[in-house]
Amino acid sequence: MTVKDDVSSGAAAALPRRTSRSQGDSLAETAAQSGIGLVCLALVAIPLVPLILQAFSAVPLYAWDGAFTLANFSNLFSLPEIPGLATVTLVFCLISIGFSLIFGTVLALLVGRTNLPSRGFFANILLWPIFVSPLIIGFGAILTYGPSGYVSALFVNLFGGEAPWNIYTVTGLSLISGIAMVPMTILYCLSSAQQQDPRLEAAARIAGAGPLRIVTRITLPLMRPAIVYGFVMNVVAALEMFAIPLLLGGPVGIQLITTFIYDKGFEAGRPDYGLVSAAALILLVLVSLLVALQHVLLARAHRFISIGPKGGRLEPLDLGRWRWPAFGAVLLYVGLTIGALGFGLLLRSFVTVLSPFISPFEVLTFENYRETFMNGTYARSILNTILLAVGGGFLGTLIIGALAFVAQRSEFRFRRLVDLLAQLPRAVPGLIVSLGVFYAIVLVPGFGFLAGTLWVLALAYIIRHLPAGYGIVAPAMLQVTRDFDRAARVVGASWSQTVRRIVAPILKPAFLSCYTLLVILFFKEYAAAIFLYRPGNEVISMAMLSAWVPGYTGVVASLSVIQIAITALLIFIATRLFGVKLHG
Amino acid sequence: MADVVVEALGRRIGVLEILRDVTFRVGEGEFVTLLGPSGCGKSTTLNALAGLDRPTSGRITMGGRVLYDDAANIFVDARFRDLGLMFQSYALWPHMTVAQNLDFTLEIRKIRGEEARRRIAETLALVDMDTYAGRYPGELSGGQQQRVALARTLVYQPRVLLLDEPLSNLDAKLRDKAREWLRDLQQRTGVTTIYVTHDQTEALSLSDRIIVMEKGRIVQDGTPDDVYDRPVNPFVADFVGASNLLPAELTAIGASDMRISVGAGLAITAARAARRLVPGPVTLSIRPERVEFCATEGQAGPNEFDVDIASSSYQGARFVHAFKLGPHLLRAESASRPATKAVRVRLPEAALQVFQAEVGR
Repeated sequence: MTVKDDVSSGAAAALPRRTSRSQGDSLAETAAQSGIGLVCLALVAIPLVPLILQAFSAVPLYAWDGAFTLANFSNLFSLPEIPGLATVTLVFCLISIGFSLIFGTVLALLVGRTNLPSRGFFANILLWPIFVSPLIIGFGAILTYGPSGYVSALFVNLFGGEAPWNIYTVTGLSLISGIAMVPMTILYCLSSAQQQDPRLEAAARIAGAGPLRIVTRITLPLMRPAIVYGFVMNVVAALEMFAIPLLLGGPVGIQLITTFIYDKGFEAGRPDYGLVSAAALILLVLVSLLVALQHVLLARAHRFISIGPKGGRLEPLDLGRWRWPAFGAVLLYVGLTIGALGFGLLLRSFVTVLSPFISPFEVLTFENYRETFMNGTYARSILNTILLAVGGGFLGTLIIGALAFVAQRSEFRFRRLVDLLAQLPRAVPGLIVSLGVFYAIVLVPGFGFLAGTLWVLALAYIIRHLPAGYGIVAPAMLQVTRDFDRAARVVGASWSQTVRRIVAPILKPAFLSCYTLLVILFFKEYAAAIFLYRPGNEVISMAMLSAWVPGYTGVVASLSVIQIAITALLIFIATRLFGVKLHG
Repeated sequence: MADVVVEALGRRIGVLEILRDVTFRVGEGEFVTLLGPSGCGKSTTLNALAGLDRPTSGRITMGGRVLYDDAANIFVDARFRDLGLMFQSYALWPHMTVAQNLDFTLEIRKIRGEEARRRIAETLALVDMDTYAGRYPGELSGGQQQRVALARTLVYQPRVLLLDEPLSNLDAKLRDKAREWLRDLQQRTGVTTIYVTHDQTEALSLSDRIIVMEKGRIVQDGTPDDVYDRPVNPFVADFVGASNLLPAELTAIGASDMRISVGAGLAITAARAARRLVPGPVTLSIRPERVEFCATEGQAGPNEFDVDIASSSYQGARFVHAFKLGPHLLRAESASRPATKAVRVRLPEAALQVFQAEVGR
């Protein structure tokens, strides 16, 4: 601030002719920054404003007379299914979050901090479910552990009777959702466990503490911010979880808050938009409260951040004679979850029928893939998804980059607000973004032409994943010292020159990471598309859902395998060719 | 309290030899410093003593108990060595208060209740931190953290105290105070202390004995006086209190003195060294503060030279001057600014150290 002022006044005194030019520059700068700020405001307002208005309007928004009412909320709470819905949602949250937190923390500790055999391999494979749509996990679970799944059939064949599990229950769908949520917990805990100052553990060892005491008294307590953060993000994920409850709960009439909104929104005849918006607003408030809670809980972060310079190699904790038993346990977990589900999907995509009693070689076929690629809708969905991920991700990265520069690296008056707005959609579930964008294109005059295009999906996806991308770019930008900017300003560079020539090149790795993340997220996104889908702009997830309903299981399996394969290819390109680090 | 005996300690990683034949003894209650530049092996030695790193050869005993013996394949892990290590970064557990940091070490030793409370209070009082028991480390200043870290290593009364550059994170003024305070504390508790540093001022003012290390080996082991006044080679002379080092030629050795030529026809007389020297190339060393300025009138006496001051810098308490003696640029110190550029300097015989030049050095 002072540096800049000194320089401009100094320059003005020494070179009066240049004054007009620098004033023109700063005007253009302010205009550019205001424009970027407005884009940010629009991105956040699009899904939220129509939704909030609709929640308090008695009639559909297109016929709105400007009157506000609370009738939607009283209608919602007077519905007879509400107490059951709340109970089921609560039980679902408890089981899925408990599963995710316990397995996630233990696995992260084993993989991140101990001398578990082949822990590098496990670290990669355990994170995989985060890259694929929960929809695929749901399909995989049905093929594997469903009543006619191959593992269930195998169990029945070996032990007789009936499989002692049923995934079409609240417990069943909670546990399957838990599997989908574990990688998130691992991701937060893993980096926390690996970034700890090794000397804090060494100090405990010198003081005479054994491995178990070090883990319970030093390592785990220091991971508390990651665990708290992971917990809150798990609650958010559980409240947002849509695909698995839809697949496993739908057929037996188990409803969570998300599937309730979906059902009401798609109800035959006239959907009650007011009711849907009221329910969506309650979900939104719940999630926002949790995100706020997490800020409060982590306010005193200094109690967990090691003091003084870091350094030294992190010596893994020796598991001793528990090394191989732990290896077996982790292998079993991977085998029963990721392994079994992936194997089921892969095998099913190449056969006409999947059963442990029929050799897969007898029923081997490429028919599923032929069907997928020949059918116009399926083929188009693959192409659309790739286009959306690669193109939309790029667009998203550009927007995020511009927002971050304004929020972190400018003198723009409202930059704090931009920073806040960019993080706000984190509290907006995908289903709600979808609903909000749907309202916006219906209601805002002139936006109707977007309906049914890929652009509207790109818009919804960018809004939905704005905080995720911003969460990578903004901290990276904070770490680049402002002295670089100051040095550029002192030699006479304008704001946009400083940003384009100095800061952006330094941040190239962060932008690449952000782009990679957006591509992966866009590739697996489904909830944000659900109200915006029309024939023509379908994506893989939508195509899978519509193929599932009439029972084209083979097509669903092959689409799943294609989605996984393309994601793997994208990750390979990003990590090997561009050197992007996905975690740690 | 215990003594520490290190015999022929070696540490290699692959072909890299980090420690070579390190042998020394630290007596009960003694304060010994391992001094050397970074990468000299002093921290590796300390980690080997602490049990955080396993050496590859040699033997370590503490108070008669074998902690490491390569031949007998004995290696006692850090947690069973019962010693205190203070880290350069302090490594205070950030999620525990000051009192909890101390209490955790007592809990491991099953010292609970009244006894634990008494010990924590006493130790915190010892380091003047008794009013901060309820604070978290992140709420303390650097100097306070340093004292808490020391209290944490003292509260369980370890047999040996290891200190790894404990003052390097403090600013200059605080460092001076902390040094005096540390010395005083060590004398009051009488705990055997091994101190690692690259700061010669700390080493000279704190230690009973200094062990100078270079490239994984011990080059000199002696009292601060020994190391400062009678360095064994040019490395020690320069590392402990910077010296002027100049290549020269030993031309004659008399009964009590030696003649040395420094080039450009200049000859110097030095006191006969205790170590064996042969005529030939040598390194001559003199400390800047030992160069004397004398009156310019009359004929120059022995070891006196008329020189021009090339540059001077004011350093508060003294001036540092650079001047040319033949082809060599030397530094000298004086308390006041000389009146003229042309001065006469004397290199006192007793202040000159002569080392045989090593081939290939």
